[in-house]
Amino acid sequence: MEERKMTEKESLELISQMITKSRARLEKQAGWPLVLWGVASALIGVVVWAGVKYTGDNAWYYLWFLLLIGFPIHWVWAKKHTDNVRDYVTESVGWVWFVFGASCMVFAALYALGIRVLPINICITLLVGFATTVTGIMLKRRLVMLVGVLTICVFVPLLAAVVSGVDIILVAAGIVLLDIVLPGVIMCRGDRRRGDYERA
Amino acid sequence: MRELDPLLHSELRLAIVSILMGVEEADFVYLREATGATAGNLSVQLDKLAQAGYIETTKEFVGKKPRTSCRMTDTGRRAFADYVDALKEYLRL
Repeated sequence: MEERKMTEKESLELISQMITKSRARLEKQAGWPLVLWGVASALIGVVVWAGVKYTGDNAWYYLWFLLLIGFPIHWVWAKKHTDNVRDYVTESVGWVWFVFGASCMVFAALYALGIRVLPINICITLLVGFATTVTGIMLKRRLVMLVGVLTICVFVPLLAAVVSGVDIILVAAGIVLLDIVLPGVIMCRGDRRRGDYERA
Repeated sequence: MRELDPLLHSELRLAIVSILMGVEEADFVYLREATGATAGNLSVQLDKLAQAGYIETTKEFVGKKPRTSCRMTDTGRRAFADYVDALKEYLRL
């Protein structure tokens, strides 16, 4: 890029292109951790479900604490792979999901301590719905917002009313996968579509 | 017709300002990669924008590496908004 004068039309195009590219790059950066956390949560959910269902041993629930390993890994990964740029929107989305993850750990700790008055899977699914809705609103992604609202208004009531026993874990894992991985994939794929468009 | 701000009506400076308008803060390396400019050219253009009061630069050391961060000032934000308004007038948008 040189220091040259441009036509008015070129200037507007350049502004639009730079803003779009910058936003896409930031979204992609924020999207990958969501995909990885979502897949990890869903996989652990399936293992916990299978373990509890087929052995009847509640100790399988402690596998949820494996997610704790993800926090330092995420921190080191972010230090190495994220650009030195600060952006209010993607930073806020990151914090929303951090608070969600921390809340899940609190629920898991309560369960481990024997405090089992809360329906943990329902609470976590409700929280993931809120986090997804906020993510959709902040990133101005309607589909993500819709999935979050559907989770709160449809999936959670259905989960509470229709599914029972240990199977709640499996369905909740599916909802978590949808609510966490979908926004992440959309954020990453949005980048590729715009990149392809720019190259064309 | 309003005159287009000559400081912003330049490809690299406009690209820098457009990026900085969308973020709170960006460092030199990020701006260099995002604009594809050479380090020397980018440095010169950042100095021009800083001298005009459009951006603020902060130099610090992260470990042993020097780091230059840039952010828009209120003056820069106003100048950018005026520039875009002027462009729209020219293009009759």
